[in-house]
Amino acid sequence: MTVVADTSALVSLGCGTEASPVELLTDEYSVVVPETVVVELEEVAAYDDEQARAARRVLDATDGLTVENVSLDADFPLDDGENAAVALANERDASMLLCDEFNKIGLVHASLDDVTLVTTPKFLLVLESKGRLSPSEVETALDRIGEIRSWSGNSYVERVRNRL
Amino acid sequence: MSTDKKRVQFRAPARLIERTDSLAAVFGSDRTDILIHALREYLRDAAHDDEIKQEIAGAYYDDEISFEQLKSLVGKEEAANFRVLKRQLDEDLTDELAEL
Repeated sequence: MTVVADTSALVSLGCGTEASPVELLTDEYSVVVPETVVVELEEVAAYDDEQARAARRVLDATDGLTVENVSLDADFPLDDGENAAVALANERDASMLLCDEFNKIGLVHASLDDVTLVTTPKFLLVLESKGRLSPSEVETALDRIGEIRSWSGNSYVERVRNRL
Repeated sequence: MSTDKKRVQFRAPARLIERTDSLAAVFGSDRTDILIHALREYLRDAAHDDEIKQEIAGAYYDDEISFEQLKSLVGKEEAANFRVLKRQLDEDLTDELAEL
């Protein structure tokens, strides 16, 4: 079962929590990321803030990830990382594409062939449903990620919380 | 833009209407012009205010407004984002994904 992730989702999953969602991701699924996403993670990790530490945590876990090169589809009006993740997910016929770019999620969704788009809040609910996270661990992860990714006041994330 | 007009009636504080009429006199227009202008500006600003936009999205997630209403308030692109996020809230989807 192949899962492709873009930079935004990996940074979210790398946000330090006890549950360590990024390890659950690589443990549970065969995760493939485009080389472009690794380059973007390295760029984020070069700063000195919480997002940088999250990106570093993901880069430290790259043993569990398969990195692949993919040619970008110039027709997609997306950033290189998202573009590459979409192209790779389509090419590999992945089951899921993890992406957190809420401002572009409509475009990302429209660019996917037969791949289910999954945001990180949704992915945490999936891990809960699989029994890999408890509701309180999901809540802690959402708090922590929300703080770092500035999700405060986001009504979608609030409703995900209500599902717990 | 549609030229269809709808007649509306509402009560407003007298002082507010007096000020509206004063401004209309300054511009050589009328009360209706001022109110329409103010309403347009308010709706345009609301579509760009993050907090209000999240309120609008919330109303859409909770089925209080339709997709068409959402689109008229925030525009086509944002509406498409909120539609994808609403689908993400579907609990059956969680179960389906957990089976994978």
